Amino acid sequence: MAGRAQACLAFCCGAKSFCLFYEKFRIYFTYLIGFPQIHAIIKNNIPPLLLERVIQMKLKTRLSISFCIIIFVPILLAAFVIFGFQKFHMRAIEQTYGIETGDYNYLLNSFQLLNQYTKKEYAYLLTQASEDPDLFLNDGFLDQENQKLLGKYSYLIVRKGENFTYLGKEDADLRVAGLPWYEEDGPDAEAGTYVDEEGKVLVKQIDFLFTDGDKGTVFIVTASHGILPEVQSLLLDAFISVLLILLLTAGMLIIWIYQGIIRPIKNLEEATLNIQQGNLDFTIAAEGSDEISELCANFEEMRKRLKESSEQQMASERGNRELVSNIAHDLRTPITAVKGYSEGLLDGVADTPQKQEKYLRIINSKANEMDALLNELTLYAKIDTNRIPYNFNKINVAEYFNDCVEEIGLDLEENHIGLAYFNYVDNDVLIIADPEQLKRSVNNIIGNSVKYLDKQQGLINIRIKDVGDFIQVEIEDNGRGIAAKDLPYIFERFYRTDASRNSATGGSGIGLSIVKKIIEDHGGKIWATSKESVGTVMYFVIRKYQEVISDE
Amino acid sequence: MSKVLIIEDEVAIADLEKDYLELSGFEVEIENSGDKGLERALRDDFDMYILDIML
Repeated sequence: MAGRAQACLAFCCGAKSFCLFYEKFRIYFTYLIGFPQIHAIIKNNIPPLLLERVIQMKLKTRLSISFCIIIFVPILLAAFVIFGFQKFHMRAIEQTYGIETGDYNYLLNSFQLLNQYTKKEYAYLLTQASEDPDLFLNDGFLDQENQKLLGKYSYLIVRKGENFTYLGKEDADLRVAGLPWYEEDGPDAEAGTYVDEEGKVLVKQIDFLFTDGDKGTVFIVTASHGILPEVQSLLLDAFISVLLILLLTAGMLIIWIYQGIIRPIKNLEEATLNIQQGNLDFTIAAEGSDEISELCANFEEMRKRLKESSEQQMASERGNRELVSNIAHDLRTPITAVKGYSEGLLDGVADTPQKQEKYLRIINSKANEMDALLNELTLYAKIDTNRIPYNFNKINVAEYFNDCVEEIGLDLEENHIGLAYFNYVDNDVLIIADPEQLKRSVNNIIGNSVKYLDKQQGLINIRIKDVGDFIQVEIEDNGRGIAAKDLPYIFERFYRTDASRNSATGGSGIGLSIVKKIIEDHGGKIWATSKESVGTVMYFVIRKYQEVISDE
Repeated sequence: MSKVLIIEDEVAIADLEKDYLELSGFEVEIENSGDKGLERALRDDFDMYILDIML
């Protein structure tokens, strides 16, 4: 009894310390394999297939393997344990009861076991009965033998003639009636009578004759009360072991699954909480390549997009604010002039008819300026939000630009600006474009060239080239040029190289951004090169219209 | 007569200011850029300078 309790206690302690050890081990192990160098060492030394398989196991696989393990491993371990216990216990039983045979069949058949129990004593008493029958009248001897038997759940009954002279146990009376008669079955060392009153009882009988001639019988009665306690204890131990093994296996599996599922999910939870609170910088590390790590990777992707979009939003808000402030600024100057000159008229500052005419002319011109600015803004807003429906047509390059240039040429001639036009493109080349918007773009560029003219003789060159899938238009002037530091920004909304935004020296700064939008909406690109005080060249390309010819 | 120098790059505004001031009896000169304005201010003597802030 004590032995079993101790064994259980030892097992429990062992299991507990194993659990503690495993927990520590897991933490250190995680740190260990966390270090990239050690990671590398491990990866290089352990068969790569094995390690990768384990770390990158898909959840489905992990779960299937877990189920198999939880069924087979306990069975295996239990078999081992029971086998081990068996050896241990069998030795104990052998030693206690002096059973020699190595055959364990009788363990399950208590009747047989009981038989084996009292074999020795039976043999001994048999010898005594033939040699010295009167011993069985000696209470001292009987007590001695009985004591031995009591340790084996047996006791003696001695019958002399018709009377029972010795009862080894107090409640032996109950069995007395059922005991066989003298030589009922004949003396047989191996046989025993099985009586089934109030539990199983095995009765072995030795018949002999006392010296005074009376018939004597000595019975060895073995009461089993079910399975032997030792066997009981064996089964109990086995049961407890199996239970503990199951718990252990389940525990380890839970840890394995925890690593694979619960921990990443907790990480995700933490990350979503962070995002909720506005912290978009919390990154998720995706470990392995199973379903959860894919989820983590996608989540990380989403977080990046969120961050990008929120940054974009902030940038566009900033842009809008700048826009508004620029508009306000650009409108303020003309408005001030209108206010001032109208007040001047009212106050009588313009005291001559020429002055009055001048004042009115200025008011008119500033009003027009504002009007033009607002028009540009409206146009830009429409183009920006794609509210302008383009009328894309197939346009013959040569024809279209020839017409354009003719018109421009007339204007430039009036302003004494020289124009040279070179068309290197074949007569049959077509593009898809909105003629009106394209003309607007070209006019804007030409307008800029005129605006920023700084030389006595202004010159503008227009060239149209064929570059494979595109046609390239180049508009060159010999104006003021653009400083290298300004060049990257000229297509930006409201960008003026004049920091003071003086309306006399330039426009609103919107024009080129509109041109860029139009060109890009045509699927083309626009860029510029320039040298200060030498001139500027504006380039843009538009895709040709080409029929796809399939080989039939 | 008091002399005033207006340093203002927007021509329309500067002219209007000159008209108003002349009506009030001042002698007015205009410079249309910061550099020229500084040069003029250092060279000549004026009683008042009207300076545009963002030139």
